[in-house]
Order: sequence, then structure tokens, then C-alpha cells
Amino acid sequence: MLHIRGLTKAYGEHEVLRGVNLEAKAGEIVGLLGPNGAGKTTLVSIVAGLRRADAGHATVAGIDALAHPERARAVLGLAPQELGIYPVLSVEQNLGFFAELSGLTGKKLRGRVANVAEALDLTELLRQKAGTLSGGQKRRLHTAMALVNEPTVLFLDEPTVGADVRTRNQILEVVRQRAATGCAIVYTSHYLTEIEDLGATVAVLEAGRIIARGPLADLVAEHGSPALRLTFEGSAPALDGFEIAGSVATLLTPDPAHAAAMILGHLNGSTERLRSVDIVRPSLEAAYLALTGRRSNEDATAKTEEVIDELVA
Amino acid sequence: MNWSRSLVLMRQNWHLLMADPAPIVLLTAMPLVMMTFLQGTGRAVLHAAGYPDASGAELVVPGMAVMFSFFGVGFIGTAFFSEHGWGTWDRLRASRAGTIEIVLGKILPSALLMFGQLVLLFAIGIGVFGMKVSGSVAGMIVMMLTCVVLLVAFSMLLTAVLKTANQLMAVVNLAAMVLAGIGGALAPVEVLPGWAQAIAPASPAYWMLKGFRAVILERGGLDATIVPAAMTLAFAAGMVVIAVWRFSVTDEKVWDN
Ligand SMILES: Nc1ncnc2c1ncn2[C@@H]1O[C@H](COP(=O)(O)OP(=O)(O)O)[C@@H](O)[C@H]1O
Ligand SMILES: [Mg+2]
Repeated sequence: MLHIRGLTKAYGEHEVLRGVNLEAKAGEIVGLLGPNGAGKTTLVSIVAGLRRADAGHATVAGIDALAHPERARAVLGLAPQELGIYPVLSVEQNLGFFAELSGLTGKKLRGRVANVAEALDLTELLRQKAGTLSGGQKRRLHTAMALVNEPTVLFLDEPTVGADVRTRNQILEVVRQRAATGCAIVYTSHYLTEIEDLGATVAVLEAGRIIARGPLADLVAEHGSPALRLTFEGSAPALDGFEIAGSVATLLTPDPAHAAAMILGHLNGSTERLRSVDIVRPSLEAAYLALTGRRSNEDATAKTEEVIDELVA
Repeated sequence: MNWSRSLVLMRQNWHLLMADPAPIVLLTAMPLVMMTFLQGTGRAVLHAAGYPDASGAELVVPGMAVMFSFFGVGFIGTAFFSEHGWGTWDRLRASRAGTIEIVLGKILPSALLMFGQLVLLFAIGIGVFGMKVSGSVAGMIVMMLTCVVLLVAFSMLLTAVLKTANQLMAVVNLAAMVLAGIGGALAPVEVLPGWAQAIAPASPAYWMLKGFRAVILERGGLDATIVPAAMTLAFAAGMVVIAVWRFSVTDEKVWDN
């Protein structure tokens, strides 16, 4: 459905894409991962005809998307990273407008709008002005607008940013449904759990290339290391080989159970403060971090918060 | 180019324009207020300029109509910029709508509105302010259409060249006052200071007002509008050329705020 070959793009001197190759089959969800600024949005925008590539090829459903963007648009759906809705128009007008642009009229148009609204729980809101919706509702409308033309290749660029749990689940459900009908979907996200929930295959974009590509399980098995995680009251003590983030000490090791047996007798004065011992299964997150070789402070903070949440609960 | 899709886009933009009618009402009400205040002065000016029968409306109605029609340039620019503000511009471009369809969809509803504004102002000018058209009514219509073409071209130029909505509004306001003022919207060009008279023909409003004056005050026929209309269209053509040139070289960044 989607074939991208050797795509390159520079903004001035700044080379963002340096020969990207990516394929997606009908019905496949590709989780496109990569740190901020990796070029995910640039890649998606090029295939959707919004920006020009410097070199390379891209076809969607057999149509050369770079040579004939106007033809590719007939089969393409895009929900851009930034929210894009008409705040002064109703939800129905927002959906209807893009349905009309795709060539639908009359009964078919109304049916399509009703279907998409139903799928994203917008039916009750059809008459409401989009500007007065809540953040989550706006996100749902934003995604719904990319579906009204029933694309065969769909790009969702961080569709759940800022969305509440309910909205996120609804969007994930719709994505799975679309894939089940044979739509190829490229889904960029920073939430690795979403990629896991979607059962997506993974493509990791870094330094302008796809550095890892394949089924989630393979990537996790290959690059994800299991870990031993110790949580303390107060800050974690310095332990040899462990990475310390606040109250949590983490050791990446192929055999966390054995490591636990070894370390627990040697905590000395910190034994009293030990609150939990966890063996962390290899996850997409671990694989992703190993691949991209970076662990930002944000991630560490998020992790700590996660741990605190668990403690409180 | 697909006509039914263009129609969809035009209707959409009409809805967007009508979603906030306040500026439209304002741009029609303001010139009427100004005409009321200025008619007496207009009468004195015209009497002094050798038109003893003039009511004053013959100067202030086209003057205010042309000046405030320039403010209408903001509609088209805003129509483009607000798509960026709403984040819908990329969506539009990723839809099946082509660039020409999108641009036409933006321009035609606003052009219709600009034409409506001129028709309404002149109609009220005749009906309420007692303006008499001494020459060709067809010439009046030709000049109104010509004005709309110029204003559309000017909108395209500003939209292509400027980067933000604030810049746009500043330039529109300035252009309306300066171009229309120097072109004779507030007082006939012959009573302006010498330096202003010398540069007046460089303002398209000068030619627009010259055309209106020919058919309103000077009993001109349709042929009297040929030169003013042609000059106005020449300005429009120049603006479109620059707009298209700027639009193509700056590619995707043209619309970024
Ligand atoms: N219009 C642009 N002009 C110049 N640089 C840009 C532009 N858009 C994106 N970039 C740069 O290209 C890089 C990739 O951006 P982007 O595709 O948005 O990454 P991602 O979506 O993965 O976060 C970033 O360094 C960004 O600053
Ligand atoms: Mg992005």
C-alpha cells in the first residue's frame, strides 16, 4: 500500500531525512517512533504532498505520490500533528466539508458523516460549534476529519497528544477498526504503550534514517533488555551498575532474578528503606531506548512519577 | 480544476465569512457615517471646483466607497491567514482540492462581498444622499467591477508577501488611507498639495476615482471609463504577477506565521 524509497529532505543546511525507506502493507499499522525533531512530521508531510522531497520515491496504493500528489490525495488521509478544525463551524459542518471535498454528496455524504461521528463518539455533538468542544472532543473531531474520505493509506501524526484516557482509547479503537478493513496506517506517537496496544509493527526514525523496522515482538526480543528495579523511600542509594532516578534504581540485565538475589543482601543501611523489588519485562520502551541510545530527563521524570503513582495506589 | 469542488470551497468560505458578520457590517456602516459628516464639505469643495449644482454626494460617495473598499482587502487576506491559525491549511492542501480551487474558493466569496459593498454604498448614495449620476450607468458598473478586480489582486499580493495577520491589517489600514487619500477620496486631486498631485497617478485609487468622477460628475459615457479602467487593471495585473512570483519561490513557507 505504501512504499517509500530513499527519501531525502533538507531544510537549508539541515538534513532531516537522509534516505528513508518504509513499507506498509494493507491492514498494517506502522508505529512510527523517533525522538522529537527526528523528522516524522516531515516524512508524513512529504508523502501527503504538503512539502517537497529533495530526492526519493513514494507511492501510495500504486500512485506516485511525489509526481502526482493530486491523484494520491484521493486515497490519502491525514490528521496533522497540530489540531486542525474550523472553530466557527459545527462538528457536522467540519466533517461534511471534508466529505464533500472527497466527492461525496447527498445520502452517501450524510451516511459517512454519521458513521465517522458514531465511531468517535461525536454523534451528540454534531450541532455544536467546534470551538466550544473540550480538548478531547476536539482531538476526536480532528481525527474523524481524516477518516471521512475512507482513505486506503492513513497518516495520523501524534493523534492522541493532550488527549484524555477515554479519547485515547476511542482513537486507538478506531485505528484498529480501520486497519481491519485493509487501510494501511502510519501512526506516529511518543506513547510507546499505544504502539503496543495497537499491535503495530514498529519503525524507528533516527538521524534521518529508519534504524529499526519490524514486528514489535522481534524488536523487543532483539533490543529490549529486562531490568531489575528497586524502589526506595527517599532517594535511592548509589548502587554499582544501577541507574538512579530519584527513588528508583534500575539495572539492565539479562537475568534480573539472579541479580536480585545477589544485590539484596548487600544493601546495608538502605535495606530499611527498600519499598519494592520489581522485575521489568523487556518492553518496547526498553528496546526503543536501547536503539535511540538516549534517555532524556523527561523520561526519567515520567518514570519516577509512574513509580510514585504505583506506590500511592 | 473541478467545478463542483470549487463550489464546495466557495460555499465553505462564504460560511466562514458569515460566521462573523461584524466586520462586514462595520465596513458598510462606517463609510455611510463618514458620508453624512463630509457631505457639506464635499458640496463646498465641488462648488469651488466649478460644479455649482453638486450636492456634495458626488465627491464623498465614491470617495468613501473607494476608501472603505480598500479595507475589504483584509477579508481575503484574513481568509487565508485564519486557515493557518486554525491549523486547517495543511488539511485543505492534503484534501483533493487543488491550489487553484482553494485560492478561487477564498477569493470569489470575498469578491462578491466587495462588489455587494460597492453596490450598496452607491445605491444608498443615490437614494439617501442625493448623488446624481450624470453619465453612463453602465460605466458605473464597469468601474465597480474593475475596482473589485484591483482589490482582489491587491489582496493576493499582500497575502503572498506578508507573513502575519497583524502585518496584513497594518498594511491594509495604511494602504486604504494613503492610496485612497492621495487618489482623491477625501478631496479632489486638483485641490491637493502639488507634491501629492504629482504622485497621485501612482495610486490605483486615483484611476478608480477618475473613472467614477467621469461618469458621475462629468457626464462621461462608457468610453470615458476605458482609460481609468485600463489603468486600474494594469495595476491589478502587476500585483498578480508579483503575487504569483512570490508565491512560487517561497514555496511552503509563504503561509507560515
Ligand atoms: N519548515 C521548516 N523549516 C525549517 N526546519 C524545519 C521545518 N520543519 C521542521 N524543521 C526541522 O526539521 C526537523 C524535523 O522536524 P519534524 O519533522 O517536525 O520532526 P518530528 O515530527 O519527528 O518531531 C526539526 O529539527 C525541525 O526543527
Ligand atoms: Mg512531529
